Amino acid sequence: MTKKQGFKIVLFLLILGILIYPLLGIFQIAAEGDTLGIKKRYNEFYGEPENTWDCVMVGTSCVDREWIAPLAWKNYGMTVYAMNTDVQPLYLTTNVLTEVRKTQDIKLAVVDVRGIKMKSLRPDEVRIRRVTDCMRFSANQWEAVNKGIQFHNAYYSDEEVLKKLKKNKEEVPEPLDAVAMHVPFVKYHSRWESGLRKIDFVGTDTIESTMKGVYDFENTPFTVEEIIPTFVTDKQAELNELQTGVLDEILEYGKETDLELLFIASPTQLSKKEQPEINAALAYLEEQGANVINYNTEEMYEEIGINFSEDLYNRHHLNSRGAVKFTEYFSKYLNDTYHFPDKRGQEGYQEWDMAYENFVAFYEDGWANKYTYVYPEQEGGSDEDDEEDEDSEDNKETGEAQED
Amino acid sequence: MDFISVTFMIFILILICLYFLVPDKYKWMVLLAGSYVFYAFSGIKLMIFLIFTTGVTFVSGRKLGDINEESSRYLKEHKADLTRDEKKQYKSQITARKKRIVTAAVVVNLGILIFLKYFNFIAKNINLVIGQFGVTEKVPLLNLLLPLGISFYTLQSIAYIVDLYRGKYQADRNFLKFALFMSFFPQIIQGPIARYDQLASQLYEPHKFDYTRVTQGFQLVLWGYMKKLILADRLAVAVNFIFDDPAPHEGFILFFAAAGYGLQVYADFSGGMDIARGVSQVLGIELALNFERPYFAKSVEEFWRRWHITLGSWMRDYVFYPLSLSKNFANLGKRTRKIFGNYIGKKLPTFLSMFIVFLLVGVWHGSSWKYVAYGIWNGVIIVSSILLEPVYQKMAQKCGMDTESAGWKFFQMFRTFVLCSFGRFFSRGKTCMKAIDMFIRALAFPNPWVFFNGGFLNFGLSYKDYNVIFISILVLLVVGIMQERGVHIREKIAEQHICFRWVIYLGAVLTLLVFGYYGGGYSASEFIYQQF
Amino acid sequence: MKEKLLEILNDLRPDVEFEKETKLIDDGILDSFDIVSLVSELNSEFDVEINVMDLEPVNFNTIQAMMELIEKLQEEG
Repeated sequence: MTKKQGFKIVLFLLILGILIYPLLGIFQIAAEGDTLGIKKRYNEFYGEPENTWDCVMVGTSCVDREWIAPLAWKNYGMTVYAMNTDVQPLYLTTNVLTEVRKTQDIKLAVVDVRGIKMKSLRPDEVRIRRVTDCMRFSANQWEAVNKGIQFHNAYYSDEEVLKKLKKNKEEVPEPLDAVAMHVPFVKYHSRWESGLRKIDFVGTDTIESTMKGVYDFENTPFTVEEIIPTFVTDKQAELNELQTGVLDEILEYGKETDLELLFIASPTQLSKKEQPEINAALAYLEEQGANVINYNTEEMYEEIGINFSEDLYNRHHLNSRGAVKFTEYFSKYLNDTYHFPDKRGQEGYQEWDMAYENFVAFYEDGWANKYTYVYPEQEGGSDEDDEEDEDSEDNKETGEAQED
Repeated sequence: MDFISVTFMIFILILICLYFLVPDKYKWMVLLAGSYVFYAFSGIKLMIFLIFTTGVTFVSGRKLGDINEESSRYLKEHKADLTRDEKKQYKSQITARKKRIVTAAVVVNLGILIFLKYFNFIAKNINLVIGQFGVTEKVPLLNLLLPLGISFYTLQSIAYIVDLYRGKYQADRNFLKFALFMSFFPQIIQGPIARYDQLASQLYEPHKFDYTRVTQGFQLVLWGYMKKLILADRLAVAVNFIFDDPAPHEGFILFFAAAGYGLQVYADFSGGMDIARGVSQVLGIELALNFERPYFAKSVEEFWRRWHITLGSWMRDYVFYPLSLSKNFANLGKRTRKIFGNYIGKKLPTFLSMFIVFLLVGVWHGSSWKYVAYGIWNGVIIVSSILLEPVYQKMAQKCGMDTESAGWKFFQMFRTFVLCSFGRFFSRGKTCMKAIDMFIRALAFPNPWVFFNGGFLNFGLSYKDYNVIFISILVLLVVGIMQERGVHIREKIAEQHICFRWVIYLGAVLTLLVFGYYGGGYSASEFIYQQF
Repeated sequence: MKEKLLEILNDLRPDVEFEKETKLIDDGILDSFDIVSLVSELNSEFDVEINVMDLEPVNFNTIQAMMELIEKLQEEG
């Protein structure tokens, strides 16, 4: 091989790399439409000024539906941001927290443990991707993908799980494709067919948030469905190794990285089948010395003021009215317990003031113009047999047309 | 190791680098080691079969070589003092000895193939038959696995043995080198079936890095991947959908599935061949062509001379010629000539051996009655088309059609395409009965409206996918026409200005990355509607 | 002998100009069917036994080559 030939080869590969690099950015998880704003949440996080957050809340979709960050700011000058995703894998919690703490020196992390239910814990390509495909490429992200793949293997090797699959005559799913999980392009290159938008080409992964993470998808925050109140039970299920392992890992993380943790179970309706696992999880965490609050008790519902006929848009999620109630209650609790510094009026926090004003306009306009009423489900449908999952709502429930 | 896997791509890059870095006398060892590593990935336990067949073939080959040398030396020495009859007697003794060795080797190697591949099929059918007679005992079915490439390397070994019997070349005396010939990884999965005198020396000789050869090799590999990923894997979606449950479909949809499968397997198989040949070219080794634009064939017979060429030539050299030129067939020919007259009578024995060849080709594909049907279909079509060709000519003359015109040629190609597509019902259909059912219903219920009512969008492909398919077929057509005219595409591109060339190469890679059908696909709804 | 050979060849494939062609096998002008028919004719006409081993392209690419093959086989008996 002559020098000239070697040079040509190197040049060719270089040009190829230069051409492929932007493709990696175009063909990734959708920033608009398809993913209900999950990528947007991460993009807004990456756009946040550093070290301005007091606390982060993580967990399943309940979290961003119930938390109005600008309201907590208005009342107490605290900066508490929701960094959850729909059916967020609880076993990736530590990675989400690590990612947040790269740019935010938070004092507290609130972990919603609803994801401990075996049904929610079930590892699934999409559930994992909602976290890993939104994170920037980094060692933390690489580890998160590996954890997802490992947990998938562990879950589908678990005896209980296999027994249940056999009973339901379901097949064990194939293991996740490591290449496709680590290189999102492998999956998303097919988006040439389903539609790309301008934002895929020109968008960046840092955008300015308008309401500091308040959930704002179409009409959903202004939808009311009359829900049968929770039939509260304090039964506790037997947690299996997978579940306790996940909880131990989070506790371990808190200790080793010196982060204070608070575990909660967000207030919405829960069936008699769903509660025992959550109760057991909270009990287990308490035994290990963690701080826990279960908001799914009759006392709590009353203290917060949750009205099942007005404050939810479906079984598992508060609408914005319910969210205001929860935020008022929880922000007071945080203030009384953790005494975050009051930063109202300080330099660099004007965005939070703007966010509050935006929220007020959003809230008022929403209830005036986007109010939607959903007829309640048939009798008996919302309790025992309902295998509904926490991330399939929104469009299905409200019957609204999907964003194109 | 699947050609379409990151593992294979990494393997290739490492192997190629090693090959060029290692000193000349070790290069063939790199190929041998690489081939066995490749084989190990597909099942290290089944490697024993390859090694055993290699051993049997090598040993019998060496014996045949010894006899060849011994006999030619003897005849030379005693050229003057032996009578013609003595020479003949000696030769027939030698032939008998060689025949014994050949028979033994072929029986052993072929026997392994037949046992592993066809035992269960034969057992099932025996059970069916004896079941009719009320016998309750059944032949047990065994859990047999097929070693990678056994259908290919077995044929390759038989060719070697028979060639030695025929004294075509000298036997290989180096077991390890011979093992490389038998296991060379680019061709072990699906051929081409190599002949010893064409491949072996290329494998053993060292090849240096040559910029043009290496880059053209990689271009061929890229082309192969494009055919596989953009066209074959995309067509497969719709084809599989229809073949998995053909009952609700009929008429043109069934024909589309069969014709689509033909295109799919062409793109996939010839794409795989391109990858194999491209990798070999990088290493300086030229593998035999296995495809020569089969869809340009003007008859089914010609199709099989352009499709899976090495299988066809293997059948020709080791089944067709031996059968047709044997004493038995010659005698048969004499008798049929008496009965059927000169024209047909002369050809009848050849038709018979042709039919046998296609039956074997059909069955070689797999152990199922549908493959028998496939063989019969091809055999019948070919024999009848040879018989009918003069009839076609007469008809054309009567209609005043010019049989040299492009129009007539196009008609022939179209006719061939339709006939071959119908044959695909047998090679792809799930069972023989299902295949026959689909065949009949494709003919019996023509439904041209399906081209207009969007029905084709129900098979898992969107209209954008079909656009990609059409464009791919168009590209293949243009490339095919150019090649039919003798244009060597890669060289043609290499002659162009560097900017133009690089735009093509870079564009090809990007096209493959974006439009290839891989990675599980993406659907917006899966992010919203969870599949429990 | 050449005339007889030409006669057989033209009878088999009247469309081919046998005197001119130099790659009857390599270019696929004669296919395997033709070869078999040709061989059986040659065997009976010239009293030789052309067998599979002789079916190399080099022996049948030109009329010249075919004549040489026949002569060689006649010699060997």
